[in-house]
Amino acid sequence: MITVTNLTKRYGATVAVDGVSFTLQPGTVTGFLGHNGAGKSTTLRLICGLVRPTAGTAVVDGVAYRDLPRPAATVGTLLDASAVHPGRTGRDHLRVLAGACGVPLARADALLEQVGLAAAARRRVGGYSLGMRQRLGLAGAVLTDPPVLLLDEPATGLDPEGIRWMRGFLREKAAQGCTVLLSSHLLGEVAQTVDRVVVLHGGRLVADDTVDGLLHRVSGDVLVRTTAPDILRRAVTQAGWTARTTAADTLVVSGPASPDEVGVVAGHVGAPVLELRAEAAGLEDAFFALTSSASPTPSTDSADHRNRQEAIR
Amino acid sequence: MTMINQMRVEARKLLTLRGTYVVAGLTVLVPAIITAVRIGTEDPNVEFPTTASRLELLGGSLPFNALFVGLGALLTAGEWRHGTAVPTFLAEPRRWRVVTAQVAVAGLAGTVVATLTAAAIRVTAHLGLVAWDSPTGFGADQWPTMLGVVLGGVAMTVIGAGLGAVLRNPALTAVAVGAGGLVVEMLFGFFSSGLGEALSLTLAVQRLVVEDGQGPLEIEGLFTLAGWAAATLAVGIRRTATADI
Repeated sequence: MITVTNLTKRYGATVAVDGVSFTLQPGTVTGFLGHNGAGKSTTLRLICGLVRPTAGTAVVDGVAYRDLPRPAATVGTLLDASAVHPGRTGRDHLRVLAGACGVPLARADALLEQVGLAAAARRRVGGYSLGMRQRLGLAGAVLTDPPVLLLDEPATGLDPEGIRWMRGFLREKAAQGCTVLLSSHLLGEVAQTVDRVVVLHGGRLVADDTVDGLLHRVSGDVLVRTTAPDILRRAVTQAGWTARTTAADTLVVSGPASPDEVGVVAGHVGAPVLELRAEAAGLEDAFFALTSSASPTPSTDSADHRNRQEAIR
Repeated sequence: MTMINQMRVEARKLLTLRGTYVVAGLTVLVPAIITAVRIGTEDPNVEFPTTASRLELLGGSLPFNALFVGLGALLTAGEWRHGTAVPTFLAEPRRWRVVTAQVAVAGLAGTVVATLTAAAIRVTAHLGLVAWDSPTGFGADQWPTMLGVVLGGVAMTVIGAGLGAVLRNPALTAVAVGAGGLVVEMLFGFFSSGLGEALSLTLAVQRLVVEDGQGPLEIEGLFTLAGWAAATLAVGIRRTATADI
C-alpha cells in the first residue's frame, strides 16, 4: 500500500506538487492523470525518493522508499524508458539491473523472452524503437516481481498488441494483490485498465475516485423522455439542475444528477417517465471537465453530490 | 547491498560498454605511440645517450592523462548523461555508496589500464632503442618512474570519477581537466617532464617548493593528486546525494 500525505514540492517560486494526499490499495490499478506539468512525474519521483519533498510524506507499507530494506524488490518502477545507456545491449542492461536488485542474472533472459525482446537482446539499445525501449523498461520494472508497480507512461510507443499485453499483465498483477499506479495520457487505455483514478491539475489533487464515480460525478447529464416535459423541466430547475429540450418529449438534465434522482423528482411531480438513462460520458470528458478550470479546487469525494441528494429528499 | 556487490554491479556497467574499451585502448596505446614517434624522429644515440636521459621516455606525457580522467568519468558522469542514474538510485537509494563504489571501480580500472600503459611505454621504448642500436638500460630509477605513471594514472582516474559526478558529462570532464592541466602546466611547470617522472621524485611526501622565500611556486607530488582526488570525490558525493533526479 502506498500512502501519500500532504506531499508538496517547490522549486523556488514554482509549486510542482501542492499538498497532494491519496492512498493506493493493494489489488488495484490506479490511473494517474493530469496534463503535462501537472505534477504526476514529480509525485512519482517523490514517492521513490528521487526528489526530496518540501513538505509531506510518501510511504510504501508505512516505510519511506529510501528506508525499505530492498527497495527495488518492493517497488518496481518505469519512470523513464529512455533512461538506458544506448551503448549497452538490452540483455546487458537487464543483467546490470538484476545485479543491482539482487536477482539472478538468468532472470533477465526470461524477462526478455516474456516482453518479446529475445531476438533483439544482444542489440545495442541505441538501435531500439521507442516501443522496444518501453518493453525493456517494463521488463526492468518487473525484474524482482515486486508487490508495487509505479509506471510513468508505460504504454507510450507500444503497438496495439503491446498495449493489450500490458493491460492484461497489469490486471493480472492487481489480481495477485499488487498495488499498481499507472500514469498515462492514453485515456481510453486507462479507462480499460484501471479501477481508480487520481487526477492532478496544477500540482493539486482534483479527483481521487473510482472510474464510475468519476464519470458520474463529472457528467451528471441524464436523458429523460416524458409525456409532461414542461412540468418536469420546472421541477428539475427547482431542484437546482438545468434542463434543455432536445426533442418534443425529451429533456437532458445537467447536474450533477443521477438517473435515480431525476426519477424521484419526476415521481414527486407526477410526470410519467418513458425513458430514463445517464448520458454516456467518457473518461476523456471527465478528465477535461476536471482540469479545465484555471484554479483547481481539491476534491476527493462526492460531497456536492450527497448534499444535493439530501436537498431533494 | 554490500559494498562488494555494489562494486560488482558498477564493474559490470563499465565492462558492458564499448566506450570503456575504446578509452582504455587509447589510454594504453597513445603514450606508447608518442614514445615510438619520439624515438623514431630523434636519434636516441644523440638525444638519449645516458640512462638519466632515457628515463624521460618512460615518464608519459601530459595531454593523455586526460584519457585517464575520461575513463574515470565514464561511470559517474555517464549515469547522468544517459539518465541511468534513475534506475541506479532506485536500486540503491543510499547514493553515497553508489558513488563510492563507482570511484573504487574506476580506481581499479585505472590501476589495470595505467599498468598496461606503463608496460606499453617501457616495451615501446626498449624496442625503439634496439632498432637504433642504442643502449637500452634505464637504470634502477625506471621502476619509481613507471610506478609514478601507474599511480598518477590511478589518481587521475579517481579525479575523473569524482569530477564526473559533479560535471555529469564524461567529455566535458576530460576537457575540463585537460584545460586545467594546461593551466597548471603554465603556472607551475608541473607536467613538463611527464607525470610519471614528476611523481617519481615525490612518491613519499607532498612537496611545496619555496624558492627564494617567495612562497610556494611549485606544487607537485602524489599527495597533491590524492588530495585533489579526495576533494573531487567528496564534492561529487555531496552533489549526487542531494540532487533531485
